[in-house]
Amino acid sequence: MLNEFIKFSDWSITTLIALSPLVGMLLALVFPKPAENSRTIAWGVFAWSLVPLGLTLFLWLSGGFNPALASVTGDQAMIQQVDRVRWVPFFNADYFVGLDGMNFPLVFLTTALTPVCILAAFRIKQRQNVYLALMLLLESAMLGYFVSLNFLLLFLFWEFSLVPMFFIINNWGGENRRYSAFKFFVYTMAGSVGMLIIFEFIYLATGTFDLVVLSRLAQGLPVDPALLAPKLGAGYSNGATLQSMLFSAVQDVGLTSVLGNSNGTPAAIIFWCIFVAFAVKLAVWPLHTWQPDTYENAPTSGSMIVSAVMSKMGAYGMIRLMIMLFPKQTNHFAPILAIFALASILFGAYAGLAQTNLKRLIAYASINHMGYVLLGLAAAASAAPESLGNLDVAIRTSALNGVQAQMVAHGFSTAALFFLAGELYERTGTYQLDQFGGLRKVMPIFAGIMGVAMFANLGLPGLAGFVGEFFIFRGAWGTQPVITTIAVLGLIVTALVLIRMYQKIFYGPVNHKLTNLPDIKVGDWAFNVTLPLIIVLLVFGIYPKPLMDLSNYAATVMAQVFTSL
Amino acid sequence: MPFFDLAWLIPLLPLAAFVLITLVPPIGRSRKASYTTALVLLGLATVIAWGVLAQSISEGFPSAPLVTSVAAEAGQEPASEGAAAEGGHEAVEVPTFGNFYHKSFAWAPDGSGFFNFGYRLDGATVLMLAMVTLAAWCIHLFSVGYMAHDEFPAGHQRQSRFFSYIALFTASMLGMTLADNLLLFFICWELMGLCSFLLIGFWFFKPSAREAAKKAFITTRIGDVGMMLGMMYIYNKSGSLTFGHEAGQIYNGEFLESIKTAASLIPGVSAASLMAFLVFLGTVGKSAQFPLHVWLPDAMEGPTPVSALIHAATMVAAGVFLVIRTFPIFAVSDVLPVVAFIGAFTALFAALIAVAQYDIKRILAFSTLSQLGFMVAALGIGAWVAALFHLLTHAFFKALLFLGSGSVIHGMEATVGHDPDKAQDIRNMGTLRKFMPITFLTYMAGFFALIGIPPFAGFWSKDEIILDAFIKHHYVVYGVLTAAAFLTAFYMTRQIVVVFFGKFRGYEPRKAVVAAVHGHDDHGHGDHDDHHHHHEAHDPHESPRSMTIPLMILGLFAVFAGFVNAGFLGIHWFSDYVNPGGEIPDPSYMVAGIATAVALVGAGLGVLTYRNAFKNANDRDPLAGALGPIWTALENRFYIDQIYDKTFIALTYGAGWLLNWIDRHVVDRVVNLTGLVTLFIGRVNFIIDDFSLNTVTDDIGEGTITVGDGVRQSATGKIQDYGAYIFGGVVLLALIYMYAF
Repeated sequence: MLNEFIKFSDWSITTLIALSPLVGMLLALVFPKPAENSRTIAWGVFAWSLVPLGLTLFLWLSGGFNPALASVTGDQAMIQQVDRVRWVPFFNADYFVGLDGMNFPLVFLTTALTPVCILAAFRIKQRQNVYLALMLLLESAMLGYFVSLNFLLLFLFWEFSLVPMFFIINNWGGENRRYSAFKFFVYTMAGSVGMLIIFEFIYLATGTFDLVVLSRLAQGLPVDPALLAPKLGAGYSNGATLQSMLFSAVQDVGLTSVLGNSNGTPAAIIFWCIFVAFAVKLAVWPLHTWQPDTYENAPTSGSMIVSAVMSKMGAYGMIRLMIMLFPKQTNHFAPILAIFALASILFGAYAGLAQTNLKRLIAYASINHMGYVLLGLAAAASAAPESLGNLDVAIRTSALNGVQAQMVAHGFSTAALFFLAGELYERTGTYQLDQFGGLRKVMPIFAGIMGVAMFANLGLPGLAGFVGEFFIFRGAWGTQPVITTIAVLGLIVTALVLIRMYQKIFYGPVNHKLTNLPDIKVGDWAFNVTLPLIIVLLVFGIYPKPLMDLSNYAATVMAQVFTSL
Repeated sequence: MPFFDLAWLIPLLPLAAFVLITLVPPIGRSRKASYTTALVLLGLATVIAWGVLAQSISEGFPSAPLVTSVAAEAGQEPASEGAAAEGGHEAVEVPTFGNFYHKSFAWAPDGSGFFNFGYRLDGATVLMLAMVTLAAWCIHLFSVGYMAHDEFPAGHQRQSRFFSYIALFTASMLGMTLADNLLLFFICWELMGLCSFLLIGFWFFKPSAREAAKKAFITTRIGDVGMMLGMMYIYNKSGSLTFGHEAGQIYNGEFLESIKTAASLIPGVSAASLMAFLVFLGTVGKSAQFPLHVWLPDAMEGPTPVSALIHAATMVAAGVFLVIRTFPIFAVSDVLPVVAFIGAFTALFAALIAVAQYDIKRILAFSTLSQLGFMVAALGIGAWVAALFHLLTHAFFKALLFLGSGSVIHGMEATVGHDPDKAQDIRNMGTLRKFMPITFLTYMAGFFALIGIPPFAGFWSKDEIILDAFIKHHYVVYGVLTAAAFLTAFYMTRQIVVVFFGKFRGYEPRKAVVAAVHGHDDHGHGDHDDHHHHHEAHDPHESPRSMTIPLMILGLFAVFAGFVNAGFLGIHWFSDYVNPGGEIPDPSYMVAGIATAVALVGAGLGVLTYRNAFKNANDRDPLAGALGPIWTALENRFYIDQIYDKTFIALTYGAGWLLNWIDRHVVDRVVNLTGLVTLFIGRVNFIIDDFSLNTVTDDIGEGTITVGDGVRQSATGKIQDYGAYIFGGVVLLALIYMYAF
């Protein structure tokens, strides 16, 4: 029965994608340190980071991963390229990784951006080999998190990803690095402790950590009873759902006297614990304050990877653990999620207007953009105020497709912005916006590249950022029209924030202290870092079908869960 | 003829010019190679566009719209209701746009189907293509001469950049015109917004250009997000955004019927009305209608050919074309009176302001606002064919006038130097007809067309709008537009008399016009001013051939273009072509006679008032004394910009400051405080645990030990445990919140 919705391959390479960076990390650490200023290790690490990207692109282009493949019974998307071996028998836990439409775009995002961030890290001079090794470790942790289909494994990678990032900020960061690293670490960790406890309870109630089984259970789809071995409650019977099993476990331990006799309450508590864990990571207002500090104080390549990829771990967690395991609760609380999204959108946009520091400004713009992601998720799950008719599935699918497109596009545009901000700092020694001025005259190519990144970030049509926003807003207008109407204010103000930023740097009279800055030259290092980012932003902005095909089928299936609620 | 199949090349050729100039260094480095690339590729596009027109005339379009009986009903029904509601106004017809040609491909997945992109050719599209390609080509050619001396920094030409931008601008407009769906339309629409940002801010080192660019982008974006919501609404009701009559497309009869009656979220407003209103916000922004008109007059901070492009052939026309493209939805909605009101109001309001401006381009800018008001008002009374007609003729004669003003400025710079405040001030001009005869003659053609003197192009199209207003009993609109037409004749005559007649005053130009009023700031001029060496004593001169040839081409259209729909001569070619089978109003000698008389009276008054005005450049305007404070208000554009500065803009930045303050001093304080309190509790517990409670541990019970141990560990620096404390607080809050909810 398991094989009906997971598909092994003779040459399953998911594990290879996720864990190969670890080998590169070890090599980078043990490789005898070459003479000063040698780039051997750096180039070696860079080349190694192309391996997971190559494997991902191979899967994508060769059809080894077919995003439109349905499970044998047709009730969910087929999970492909699966590796599954017994891992901790005591917890009935497997090492279980695989790909579907919800994680493949993020695997692509991670594998594509890591080489770029590694290339950007060539600026790091102190203990460069350790830094690069940490980047590979981080990549592996993030990839492991995206492909894990067992909660224990996923949580392991989740927590583990904090470690390299902590050291990257703490040891290589800016002025306030210790405070920021500490805040980053503690905040994320604290947010997820509840989720860990709660999943232990889910395990007791169902006897499994298997996320695929749990999501089928949550949606009332048939599950092989042999996969379940509840320690508490009445056990699995036909028609049982995750919610009913949790309630039965609550009854079993006698918590009903505290929690009341409604079978939704335990699930609701669990829902909020999961939400908080991921809302911190996604930097949802008001759980976002670690984020501007972290983005400001991390070294350039660290800001790039944490904003471009790591923040998406929050959104992905919401999809995999919150929406897929607790669809009814998500549906019930969606209006509150939408309000949180709106708060992020407006706070991010307006507070961005008051920033004087370039990196903090980009950080606030990111809060705004992640607000759209949360809005899309809330929209997909919300009850519609008026009948959406036969377009109901399509509208919700739009929101979910939009979320995926937005995550990928935001990753690429923010990485480019942070990189260019770092380059401005290298050239001018400041991040203060009022210290620049007229630099387009001094560095026209720099201005052109940053212009593309900036316009992609603000969602200009023709660049990838717009695609996500368009489809998210389409879904959001369908189910949350009032909040969406207010949220478009964010589109205007973000545009103002970014245009103002761009003009403060590049327009107006030239700051006479900055008349001799070196421009980016075609083919030089900075050009090579930004070129792939710009190309991806352009390609998916003009023709998003290949990217959106990845998530479309899985999103459709997920949307159907909500139309049938 | 193969032109229908090649139509997709029309936007792609100028786009290719943009890409080549930007990315191929040998082209981008050379001024000549760049403008040649742009001219040749846009020239090819022009040939294809006119080829499409020829093919459509000789062969017709292949596909007929699938007009169902429901659509016919949808068209008929508002007749009775509308008549009752609007007090005798005739019903608005739902247009079909006639036969068409359509091709598309899958652009993005959309659940079980696809979102398709493609192009659609029908009468309205093809005429727009013909106009945009030709006018834009003329503007490109003009720019070759106009921009020839623009060097910044000295020795580095930026004209290749300029040509790449205007090529992209033209490509966007052409793509928008061809789009077969509202999303592609919107994408090109926004790309035009980008190009306007780049071109208005072309002289980015000038703070005034910087501000104008930002203003244009943000102001139009305000309208755009409204349009985007409207688009979402249409999409979520119809299932696609494709222009067409098939099921699931937005001209579909059943769809129109359903949105006409369906309730929207706002009580008492039908779905169609809300959709149309939101889409119309896009038009208000892009076509610079009141209250989002403020960006357009400032948009002339860009080089003059850009003004011609923005004000005539592209950007502002886009807003009017948007309403035409979605007119079936407007036709079944109740917002047309709003559209008519905004249009008529803008027409009069802008004409009033234009009376009191001194900058030659600014007068034309307000005249554009006013003429757009005419078109929007025409849309509002259901006369979309007349609106399209006026859009096309206006594009030609306004491009002509703007380029003419560019030629004047170019000539003036020989005398007063490269200073926009001097070279563009009409008080410094006079008798230029003698120095610049070709410019003068072509400018006069544009002038007669604009004020609506028969048989110039503007007469026919403006007459059609006024006629429609009259025979459809929209007497208020009729009256307001007539008043605006009177003012148009007056202020344009003022301009003509002061610029081309009288005595030349440029040898002693006005001293630094109050810079603050215009927000001008001349930083950066030093870098950029290569005209200074021809200072003093030089007479203004006629412009080079590359500038006068486009003027002559456009002049021909300003004179003759109106004959495609000359009602008095029995010619209805235009109406039949864009709206086959549509109703054609009978021409009225009375309406046309009144309109012509009004124009002549306006022009006559203009001549009388300004014939002897401005003996020298520092004289006051004769009306300034007569009108007093009213004049000052007009000169300051009714203080709208200042009001916006003090309200919306101040509020936005204030909100930004406030939310940032809350973020740092409330939200983040709470976080840090939680951390500190946790550490503090840890420390206190540690002390209590160690010193006071040691002896009574057993009494307290095992639980305390566990907690105490945990706390002790946290205080010794295990960050996981700080985390657990913070988490505890968060969960508690979440629980409280949840139950309270």
